[in-house]
Amino acid sequence: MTKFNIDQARNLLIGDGTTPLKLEYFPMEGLAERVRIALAVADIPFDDVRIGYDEWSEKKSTTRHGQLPEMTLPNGVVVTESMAMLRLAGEADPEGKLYPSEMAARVKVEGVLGLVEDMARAWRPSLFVFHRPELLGHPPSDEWDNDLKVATVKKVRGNFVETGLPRFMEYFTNYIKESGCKYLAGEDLTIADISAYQQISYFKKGVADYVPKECMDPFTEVNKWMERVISHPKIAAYKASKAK
Amino acid sequence: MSASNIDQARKLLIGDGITPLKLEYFAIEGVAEQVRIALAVAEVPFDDVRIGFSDWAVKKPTTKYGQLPEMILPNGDVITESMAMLRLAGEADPEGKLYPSDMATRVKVEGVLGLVGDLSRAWRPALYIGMRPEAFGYPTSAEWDKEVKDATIKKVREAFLSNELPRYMGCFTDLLKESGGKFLLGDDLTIADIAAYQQILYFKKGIADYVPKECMDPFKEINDWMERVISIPKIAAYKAKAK
Repeated sequence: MTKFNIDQARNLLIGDGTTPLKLEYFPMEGLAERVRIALAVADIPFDDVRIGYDEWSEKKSTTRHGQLPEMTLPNGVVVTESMAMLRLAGEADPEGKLYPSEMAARVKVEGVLGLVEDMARAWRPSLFVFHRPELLGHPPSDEWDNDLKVATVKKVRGNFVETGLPRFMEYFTNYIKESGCKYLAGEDLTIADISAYQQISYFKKGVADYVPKECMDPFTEVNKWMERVISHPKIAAYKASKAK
Repeated sequence: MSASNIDQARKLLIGDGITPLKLEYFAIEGVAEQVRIALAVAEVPFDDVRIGFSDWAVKKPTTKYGQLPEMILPNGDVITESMAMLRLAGEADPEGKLYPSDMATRVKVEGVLGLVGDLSRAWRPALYIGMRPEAFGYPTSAEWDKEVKDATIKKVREAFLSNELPRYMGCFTDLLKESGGKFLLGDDLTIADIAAYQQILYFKKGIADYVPKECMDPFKEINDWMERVISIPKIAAYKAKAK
């Protein structure tokens, strides 16, 4: 049964091997990086197509739902939604570990995937208040009094760093400890680890104003888990192959 | 394979039939209703436990992640995350249709689930600006000047109605047209229909200020599909009982 899932998924993603899988996204990690990593771990070759921001307005109307990423299978079928792609890539893992088909294990992976989305949701106002404040009812950036904007961004992000981040890091630490300090859903790397890694590693980058990379320092078990993820041979190889 | 997925899922959800499955959530539809519906369609009995809002403060620290819903399996395992529960309930469908194991179909189900998530995400600022404005950098409800608050909520919600709602209803309408069938992926109901139904139904209820129930009137194909979903015998029976 495990093998049946794997075969189906690999068949969809590889076909007869003549037309490569295509993954289209912007030239950043964003939502696509977890898919790229999972495909690398599952040994699925793919064209990693980057759509420049200046090409987007023309490209957008050709997409199914006006969004990226889009994944074009060898048979021509277009898959949308990064989490659908992540699950499909997981199903294709030849070792059957990235997205186990044993139901209890899968339910656990889904629980962690949901928690990652909860964390993304908790962070989102902090993201938007800076980049797209009008979505939250504030003036657009070029109209918003700069002092007022800075104060608001600082307050919203400060609140996340003080309360939201520690709360989620506690939940992820619980998962890590439950697994005997291996991965989030058990002894083996799963798509839940890949998704969580991308979400959490963002906060170690210090790319968001008022969210210094040191904010992640207190979370020892999470940091150790992140090291384990990034040291996974196939993930290390993928990251090395991208480094220019 | 399909039988084995179904068997595994039903075993987890039903066990030996002695201890019933328990689903705990607030006394609202919220994110649990899609799970309740899926369990009903998959014919998995469960205790539909409703936690009163006044009991939440005491209950919260006993939950795994300070959130509801929680689902307690007959074997005692606790499952968190409504979408994990929805998928598990889908796997348990004896007819194998709610969450098909054919990979090409499953990928489409996941694509629609993702789209429902996008719609929910697009609505969220408009929802929470009324409930928890401080999350978006505004004063708390108690401190925010009422006129300014109302004007801001109105602005954000009307922007959603002008921009996002038609955009997403367009996407779902396209899916219905492409499916050539009664439901979003074809002739059979899937958990994608159930998730989409609950999310879209919210906008027909006229619950949120400045979001009148008539906002959904223009979307004929969507409304017709919603009628079909609610008329499915097992769903109609569940809804009749749930009152």
